[in-house]
Amino acid sequence: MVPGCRTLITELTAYEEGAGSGLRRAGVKLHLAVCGDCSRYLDQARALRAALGALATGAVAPPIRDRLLERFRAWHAALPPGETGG
Amino acid sequence: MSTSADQALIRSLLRGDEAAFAALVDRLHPRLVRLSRRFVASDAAAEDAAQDTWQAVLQGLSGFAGRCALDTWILQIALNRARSRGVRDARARPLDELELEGRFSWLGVWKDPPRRWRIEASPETAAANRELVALLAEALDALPDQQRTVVVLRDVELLSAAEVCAVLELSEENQRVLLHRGRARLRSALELALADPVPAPVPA
Repeated sequence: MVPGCRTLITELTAYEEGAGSGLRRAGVKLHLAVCGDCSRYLDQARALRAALGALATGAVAPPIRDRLLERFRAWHAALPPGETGG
Repeated sequence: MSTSADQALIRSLLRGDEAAFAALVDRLHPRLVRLSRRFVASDAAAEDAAQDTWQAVLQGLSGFAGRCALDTWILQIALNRARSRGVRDARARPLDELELEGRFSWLGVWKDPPRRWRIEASPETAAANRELVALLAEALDALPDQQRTVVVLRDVELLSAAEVCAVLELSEENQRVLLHRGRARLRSALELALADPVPAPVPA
């Protein structure tokens, strides 16, 4: 069965996550092929996800790396001998 | 469950292998800072929270029982720390403004369909659009805590659904519901910021 607009939008994430029967998925695909409004919604949702991925920037600044390594050395030096795995 | 690679890494760390620790920091520290940043009020506070996380990771390492993957455990520590430090006030917009329900007719067909955005944003070009990315960062910070966490882990950090379920101890179904609501709200928030104004009716 082909879902209506509201049902499709409600189930969009499930659809994109690969959930649902083959028949249901075919219905969603068919709806999207003929419904410009839902297609626009889907395009916008996908554009939004692509843009979210762009927030994943940044590297470890050398001074911070050095500080963390210093703490690692201090931590290791203070470990009881039994915990260092020999 | 932790993998044998995790177990080997833990043994290296307990032996004092600095290169192993440096590699782990290089791989995960930027992620810890970004995650923390979504809960605390400044970049400096996010950096502090991430550094505290490493301290807690080292302190807990010899007692880490390996019930989950090492990355999962580290992310749990980071989220707990960032959330407990979080001073972000709930700046969420009124719920109804971002709800879609009123935009369908009783037949379940769009009554107020999604509007065109004034910037072109296709999945291919969106990541390069600074305005869009900046608006999203702002909208993300206005999401309810759980939705924000799931959206950040899935769509910014690109963890799998299974990994997010493990980190947050959520069922698959709950994870999906939070992801769906969070994404829908983000899209609505962007629409408010970016949609063409509704054209005035042409006089007859």
